Amino acid sequence: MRFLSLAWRNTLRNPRRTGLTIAAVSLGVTALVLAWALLDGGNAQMIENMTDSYTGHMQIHRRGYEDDPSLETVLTAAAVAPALMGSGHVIASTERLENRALISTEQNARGIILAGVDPEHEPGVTRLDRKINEGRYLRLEDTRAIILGQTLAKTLGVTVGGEVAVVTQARFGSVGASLYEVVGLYDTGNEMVDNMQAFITLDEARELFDVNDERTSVVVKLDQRDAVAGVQSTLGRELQDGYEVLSWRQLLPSVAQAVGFHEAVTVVILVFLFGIVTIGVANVVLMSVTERRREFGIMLSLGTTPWQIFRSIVYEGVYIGGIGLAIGVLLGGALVGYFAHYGIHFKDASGIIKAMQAETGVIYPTLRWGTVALMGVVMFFVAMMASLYPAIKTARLAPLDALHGLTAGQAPTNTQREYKSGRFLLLQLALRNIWRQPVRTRLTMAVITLSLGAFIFLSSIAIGYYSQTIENATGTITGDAQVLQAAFKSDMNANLAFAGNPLLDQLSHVPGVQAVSPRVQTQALIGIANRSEPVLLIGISPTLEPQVTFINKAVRQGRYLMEGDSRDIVIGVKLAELLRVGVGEKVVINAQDRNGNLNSEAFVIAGLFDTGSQGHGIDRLVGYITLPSAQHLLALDDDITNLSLRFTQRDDDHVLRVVQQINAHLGDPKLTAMSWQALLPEVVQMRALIKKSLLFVVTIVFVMVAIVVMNTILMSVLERTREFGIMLALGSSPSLVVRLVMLESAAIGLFATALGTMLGVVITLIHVTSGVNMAAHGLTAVPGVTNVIHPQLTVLGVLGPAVILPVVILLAALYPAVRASRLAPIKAMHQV
Amino acid sequence: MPNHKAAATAGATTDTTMAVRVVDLSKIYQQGTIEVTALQHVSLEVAAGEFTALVGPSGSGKTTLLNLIGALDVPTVGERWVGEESLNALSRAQLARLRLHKIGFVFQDYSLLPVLTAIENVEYVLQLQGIASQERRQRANAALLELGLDGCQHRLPTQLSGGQQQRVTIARAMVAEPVLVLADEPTANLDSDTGAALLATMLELNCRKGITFIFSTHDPMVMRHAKRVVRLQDGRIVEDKTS
Ligand SMILES: Nc1ncnc2c1ncn2[C@@H]1O[C@H](COP(=O)(O)OP(=O)(O)O)[C@@H](O)[C@H]1O
Ligand SMILES: [Mg+2]
Repeated sequence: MRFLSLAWRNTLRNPRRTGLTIAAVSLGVTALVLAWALLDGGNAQMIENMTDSYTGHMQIHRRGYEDDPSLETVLTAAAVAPALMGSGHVIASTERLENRALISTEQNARGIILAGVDPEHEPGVTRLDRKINEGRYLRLEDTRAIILGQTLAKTLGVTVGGEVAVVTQARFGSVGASLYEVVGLYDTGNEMVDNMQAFITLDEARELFDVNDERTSVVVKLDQRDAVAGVQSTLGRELQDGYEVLSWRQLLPSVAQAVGFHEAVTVVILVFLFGIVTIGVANVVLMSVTERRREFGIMLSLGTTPWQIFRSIVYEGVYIGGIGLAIGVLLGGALVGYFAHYGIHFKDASGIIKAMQAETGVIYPTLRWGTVALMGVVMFFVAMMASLYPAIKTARLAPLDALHGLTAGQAPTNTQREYKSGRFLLLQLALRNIWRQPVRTRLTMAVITLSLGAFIFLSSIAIGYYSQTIENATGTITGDAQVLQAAFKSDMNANLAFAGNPLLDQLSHVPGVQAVSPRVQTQALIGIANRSEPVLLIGISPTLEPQVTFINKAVRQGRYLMEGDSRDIVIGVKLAELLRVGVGEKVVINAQDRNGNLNSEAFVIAGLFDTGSQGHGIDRLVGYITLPSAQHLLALDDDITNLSLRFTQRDDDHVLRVVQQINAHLGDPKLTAMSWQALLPEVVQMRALIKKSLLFVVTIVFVMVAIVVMNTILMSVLERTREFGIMLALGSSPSLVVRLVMLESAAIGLFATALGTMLGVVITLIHVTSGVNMAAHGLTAVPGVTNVIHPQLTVLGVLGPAVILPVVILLAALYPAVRASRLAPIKAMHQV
Repeated sequence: MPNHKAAATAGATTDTTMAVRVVDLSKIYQQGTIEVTALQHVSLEVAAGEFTALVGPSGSGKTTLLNLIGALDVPTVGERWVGEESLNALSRAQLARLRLHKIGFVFQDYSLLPVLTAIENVEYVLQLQGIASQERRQRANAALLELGLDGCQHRLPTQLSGGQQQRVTIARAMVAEPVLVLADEPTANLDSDTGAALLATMLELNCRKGITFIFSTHDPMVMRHAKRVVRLQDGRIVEDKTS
């Protein structure tokens, strides 16, 4: 292996340069390992937390249950047991009987999923028993006992020892009702489980739902999550047609989506990092090859074949890539190990991480050796590819050319062009110098251009995303602000209603207020014969409401409400889908009135609206009726629960100012004006998180660009050491050398920045009208999130990076420039 | 002692202007723990308009002496004057200015900037001096013509022969009208005919324009043309002969 050792010696020849490249490669790999492990860890935690708190790794239902959960689509545990026993990875399973129900106290009512669980076997599959904060978990012998989330308990105003009433549709359409004593409260950090679920024993559930041996689901825990796909297909085969076997991916589509989103982000970062590594390795090999042209000439004249030369050069790239990889993996592994133990704290973002179903704001990265191995292989090929170009270039040299070749760099070879020197000799010198290694220059510019273009596009998507979300959430649910009793925001209790009519006129005259609309809002249960769903029921004035929100424009089927409608309701398409109802059909609303009584009234669906919201968005959660019918339903007479307002402008400052003014106008001390920012903290949080992650991404992009530029300029300076020596010997001042190098990087930087900005703007503009369909990714837990995002260009989003990036580039070039200027002339001239 | 003789010669010619004066110059290179003495107690005066050859075997200290005179390196001990100026007291920037205005260099191997054409290489020095572009172009062109490089102005160094490249280097060295041109083995990489032609050019420039040349060589043919030959051996001046 003569060429292996030759290549090895060549990499050792310029330790500083090789060291620099290895440092760049290992830094890239370290970042990669850490980012990957972090996302992996976050994903795993999110999945584990969700599967642990409720869904399990897999569930078996009677076929059709997932699409249409009802007590008519049930199975028996005995029927599926043999198949489960036969499967290798199953370590535990448990049976459940689940149904929608309305849970209430005198104070409040909520629609929930009530699950009858087996206190003996359930803890083998989920960990709810270990998340009890107050009281205790369910016991087999319990009668009339229930456990619920702390958040739900707070809403209901109940604690351990208190009593709740549950009403549900039992198996054959009859009403099941019962009183339970709260024996325990839990806090899983999983919003769904904490807010919208409660648990009783299986026996209690059988009685309440009027069911015998039938179960809605069998929940399965596997020894490892990755085995899900295999077990799913085995079970599917054994159980055959009558059953559906669902993995957590299907049970928790929003988690699966978030995981997909994270993985997409990882791929983007990956591509960035590999770009950096490629350029680093290519630069170093290209440079060391260029400066050894004479040597290759001698080798060629001695009879070495081009193929042998090619190989020895590729080996050099592989050595550098390999060492960089090893160091990077070790360093990254150590960091992962450290953080895996101590966790990485995302304090400010913990709200949104919660919303994304993870447990807390602390993420523990995990390292999978499979990914590391994969990365090793990819990195190996990247290094090979990076040295390919210089290798081919050199292998193609004619021996004589190589022997007579310049010692440093490659001079322009265009004999046709006549070089005219103008006044800007320095500028020309710079421009010609950067084209001496056209491939390297293009590569560097490509990285800058693509990074910047991608970033501009990404940021305009992000800005469009949160603007739209705000637009949607305020335009349908809240308006720009509301006037209400402060407690109503979380409670939504009808007894917090007030006389709103006198305020209506008064508020519309506050400067900055455009329109005011009275509302009655409550949490209710909407249902048909054997199916019901929780709904945010909003009573509106059909004429006033459109001045504040635009739900009237979102009606896609049927019609919007009219004054005088007393039995008509407009609901979201997703909710209608869930209930399997259409326009003209009848639904029953259960709600708790001002006096704590549960009222039930029938409505006819007048229309369906579609805002394009995702997941648990408004299309799934909200229904509108007229104000008088809501007042009647809740026994409010003329009172309302809140006023929603539209302002003349929506920017944060304006909203805050007007809200302050309104608060000054309000006579009643119990009433308060709340901005949409206060009403929708999760939207504000999401916006802050997006801004923060944009900052994070832009920092990464800038650091990477800086590394690439520094590497390129340093390489080009190092390989021209002799030339700088000559320049200095001729009497060029050190500052002139600095200026020359800076000019070179400025030329590269400005051109690439302009290109990148153009690229980003063009891609964005292409998508402005059509929008980007994000249905497959996204934060579905945030109200108002839509599936199609129309990216928004902002001056700051475009010009910010376009101004800062050249500065970053110049700063990165400063070190090589100063280095070049500090050279001692004779030493420099003797180099190479 | 030879250096005493040199000093005596210098003393005898104090009325003519001095181009270079070095006194008791020593240079010791530190190579790890080993000290290499490249020059020992060298004193030398070169009058304006002289055409002086530094000769001696390889390793005798020719390059070291030229580098010290040319303000490219710093002596371990000793003093240097170029024209009226003492070099020891000058800063880096001042040294750069001195090189720019008073000294021209011709190096042994290709020392043209590879991305600049012949005329641009020559102009480069003038540009550093801040000379306006038209005058620059004119003077550079004249310098190239003087060296018989008509037609080569717009060629890149790679498109020139070795002899042509060295002549461009000389044109660049003298275009700024320096007090002194230092040439380190300018003919070493040329065949003997080209070398002879290059030497003839240098001699002619010396006669016609009175430019002071100090050049090193170990080529006997070149030595024969020099009016003054200073011979170095082991870092000392062993002979100083004016013909
Ligand atoms: N940078 C250096 N470091 C160490 N020794 C050097 C260096 N430059 C020259 N020398 C030594 O100084 C002596 C004189 O060298 P030099 O002036 O180059 O001789 P010449 O030009 O006459 O061949 C030699 O012994 C050489 O090895
Ligand atoms: Mg020498």
